Amino acid sequence: MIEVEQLSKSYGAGQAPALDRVSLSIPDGAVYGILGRSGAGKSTLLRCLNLLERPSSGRIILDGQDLTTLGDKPLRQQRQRIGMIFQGFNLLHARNVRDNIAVPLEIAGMPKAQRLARVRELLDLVGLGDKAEAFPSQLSGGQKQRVGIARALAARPAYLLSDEATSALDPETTASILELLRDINRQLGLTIVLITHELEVVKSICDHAASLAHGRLVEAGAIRELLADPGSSLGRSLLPGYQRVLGAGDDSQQALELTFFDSLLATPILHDLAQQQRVDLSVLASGVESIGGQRVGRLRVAFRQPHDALKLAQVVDFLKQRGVRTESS
Amino acid sequence: MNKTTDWNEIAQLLFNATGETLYMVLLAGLFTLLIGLPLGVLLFVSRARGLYPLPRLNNALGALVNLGRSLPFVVMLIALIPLTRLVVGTTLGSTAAVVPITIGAFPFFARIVENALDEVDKGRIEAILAMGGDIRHVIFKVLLPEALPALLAGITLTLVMLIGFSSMAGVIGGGGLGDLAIRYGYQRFNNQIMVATVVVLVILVQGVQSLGDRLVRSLAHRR
Repeated sequence: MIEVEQLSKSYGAGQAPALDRVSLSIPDGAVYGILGRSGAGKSTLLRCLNLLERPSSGRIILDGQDLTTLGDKPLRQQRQRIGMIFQGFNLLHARNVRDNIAVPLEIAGMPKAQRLARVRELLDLVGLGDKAEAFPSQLSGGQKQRVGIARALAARPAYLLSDEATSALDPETTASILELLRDINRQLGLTIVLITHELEVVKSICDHAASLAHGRLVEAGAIRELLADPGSSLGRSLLPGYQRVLGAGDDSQQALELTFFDSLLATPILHDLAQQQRVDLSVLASGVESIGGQRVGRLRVAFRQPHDALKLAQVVDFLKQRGVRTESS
Repeated sequence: MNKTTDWNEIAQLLFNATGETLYMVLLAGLFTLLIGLPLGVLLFVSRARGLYPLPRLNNALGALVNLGRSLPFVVMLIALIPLTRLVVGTTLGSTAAVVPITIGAFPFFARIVENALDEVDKGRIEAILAMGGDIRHVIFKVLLPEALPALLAGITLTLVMLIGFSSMAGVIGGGGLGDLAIRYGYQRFNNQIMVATVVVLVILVQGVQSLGDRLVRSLAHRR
């Protein structure tokens, strides 16, 4: 578990701080996504987690130990428990794939025979069994990131930090790398902390999310809870998107926005609503996505009946009882 | 009367002088590498925002290196005579010339090393630190191997410069091709030897340069 307490980082007097009293709790086994625009401080936050950058104040507590108080050698030992992958891959170009993956093992002082066996396992894990002899300049972006992931996992870390690891990749490759990260999280129980400016990355693999703006934490929590909270703007931004149908939703109609989670998607709620409440409804727009491991559906529905507000309140009540989140819009 | 020298005699003179030049260049090159490489690494890592910041030492070393580079080599050659006597015991001959040549060359090479290391992608250094590596790991696993092509190009450049320096060593009786050119070509107006010396020097420089280029090219996959 990583606990970030009141973390601040400033680069100089007169400049706005890169991080301003950020506190976060990252549970074990989580895939924790930190969202923010460029310049929001997410990269600084990530690089404070393994102390590549020293915070100006605050604490980073890794499994009960405050990293900011550690001396050089214990800090390096803790860093061996935290793998890291990068947007620019940062592979060593003078070494082939096998020797790149072996670097953390060399640093950890593992004997050569064991190193070779471990590298072999990792090559298979990331699906590059036939590329051991290749040099980084001979690989595609996706392959380079797979080598980066294998290298980050070599010393069997408990945590993996991902610094915009898919931002330099095309959508298809991004999907395959995210899938690999999710598999690693499940198979190895590794806790992943990733920063990204792409909502899609958080939607597809994270179970926790936080948003940063101007160095401050805006929101943080489990995605399931963020989605269920109508007041959460982060939760709202993660909801499925849909195309608005042009011309639909004119003033004579009253529209509601409905959000369904998981099993609700399979129940005939709209049918029940139409029959039991005797309303005439039409679907204006809809979308279904898998977000943070649960399926979420979103509907925009217009009602011709009722004409009065009282009846609409009954509709909202009916939906709420069935577990559907409703918002008028 | 047009005085011509016997070709056998010229060949003998050239052979000996080339041997002396190679001796000076290779020995001074070895010392330049042994002093300049660690000095260049130290200059790079001790920068104020470097891996192991030692700003005072960095400033002092930088000033020393600049001093070494600001003196014309001919001046240094003569100014260093007392030091040469102290180190080698004599101020004459090829071995004695190695002292001023090395001192003239290593500051230049140290800067080349520093610049080559500066070209290495900072992200690769960061990756090693993130794995728990220390400064030795950064130097020996990242900086030197990743900068190897640039270092080889720098060594080539330095060797060519050393050939030039060694030729000037003739001024203080250091022997070698420069000495030959001065004694025969300049003082005795022997154009045959003058031309022959120039040809050998050109061949030497071209040889070193193309060998260096070939080595750098063979590492192209690292780019």
